[in-house]
Amino acid sequence: MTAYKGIQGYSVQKLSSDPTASEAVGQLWYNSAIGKFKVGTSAAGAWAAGGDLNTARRGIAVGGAGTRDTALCIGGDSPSKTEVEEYNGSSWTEKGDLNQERANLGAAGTNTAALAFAGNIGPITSEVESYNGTGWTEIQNITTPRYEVAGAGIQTAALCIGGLEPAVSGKTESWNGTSWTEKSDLTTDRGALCGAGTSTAALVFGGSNPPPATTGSELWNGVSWTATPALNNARAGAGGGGTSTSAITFLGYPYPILKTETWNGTSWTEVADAASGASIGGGVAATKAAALAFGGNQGAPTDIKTTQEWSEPVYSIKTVTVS
Amino acid sequence: MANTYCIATNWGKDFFTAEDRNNFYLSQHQGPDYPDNSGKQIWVVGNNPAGIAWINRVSGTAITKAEAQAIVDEKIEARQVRWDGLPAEEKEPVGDYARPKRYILP
Repeated sequence: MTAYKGIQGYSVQKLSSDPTASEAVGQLWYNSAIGKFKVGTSAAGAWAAGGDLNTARRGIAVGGAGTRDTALCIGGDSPSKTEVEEYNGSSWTEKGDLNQERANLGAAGTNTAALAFAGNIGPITSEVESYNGTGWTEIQNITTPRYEVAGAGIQTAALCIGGLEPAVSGKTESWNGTSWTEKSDLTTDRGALCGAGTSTAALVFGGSNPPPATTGSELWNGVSWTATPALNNARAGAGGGGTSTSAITFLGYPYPILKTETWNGTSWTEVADAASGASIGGGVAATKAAALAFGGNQGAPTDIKTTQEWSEPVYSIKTVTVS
Repeated sequence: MANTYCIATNWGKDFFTAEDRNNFYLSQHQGPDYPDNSGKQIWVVGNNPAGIAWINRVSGTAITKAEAQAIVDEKIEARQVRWDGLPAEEKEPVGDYARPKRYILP
């Protein structure tokens, strides 16, 4: 048999084990441990099944806290919950409970430094709690009680956006680590919307004003909101997150919505579908490249525990077969 | 036939992978255990070798499209009955509580 080098003029590297899939894209090598040729490939973004929540729920904090592999699932319904869980890329672990049970709240920050604000516990609440990775501490309330708000930012610089008072609201409140200050309203009042970004460069999208859902998207520059190109699919109670230039939204209602959309700073583009829909579940994303969807409701009396993980692109290692 | 159909229970992590999703169509629909959402579900699976291999990997029970559609129709009717029984204030405004509609499986 002619050697590969003789045909192509190149040597094929010999490795005793496969490299990580993300580092192997475009590479061909011989795995000497198993005697097989391997290649690294890269494909379009896709959803995969993740580990189930310990507690099924909907009305989970919007805005999320953490990243795909370090997400927090905060509060929710039904009934209103104090439970908080943290994801590690495979499974959920119960963490310190909120002091005040609540659903349809907003959140911001990371898995070790988060904020949870607003929501409803029956009555609509203005309460805010701060998380240090272990437990929650009550801090200064937002000015206007509301629920179905969106969150954006970090623990020391966050936004609480829109929601229901119970009338749809466009209020934007900014947190500087010490106090909340009311800023310019959204151009379109809405509840059950999604947020992404920071306290000075944020994006909101979707929502309800009133139902059915809207496609509206707005950009925040630290001072005011400006309408931006709309989503391709109207949705509310969706998951999403990211930055003002790299965001993603998924699931939501009218149930079921399987379509996923990503924002590149200019427009929303439909990408791969989720395998199953859910409304008013949780969603976390640091950018449009990695996101987590968890919990929610599929129109049944009981809520769901399932988690889906988004990756873009999808890296994989394949064995070269010769026929 | 573009798709095939099975009943399977989603066990969580890696029940389906991102690579699976790039290799074949996959969607979940309410199955025989509804309203227990952690029970058996209907899965519509791309009818190619990767899709068939996935059904085997998750120990799915193959069913026909007509059988799958009948189960989904029955569950939607159950959801419609539940929705119709809600107090009026919970039906308005619509949104995630909109009356479920029948649909044809892909």
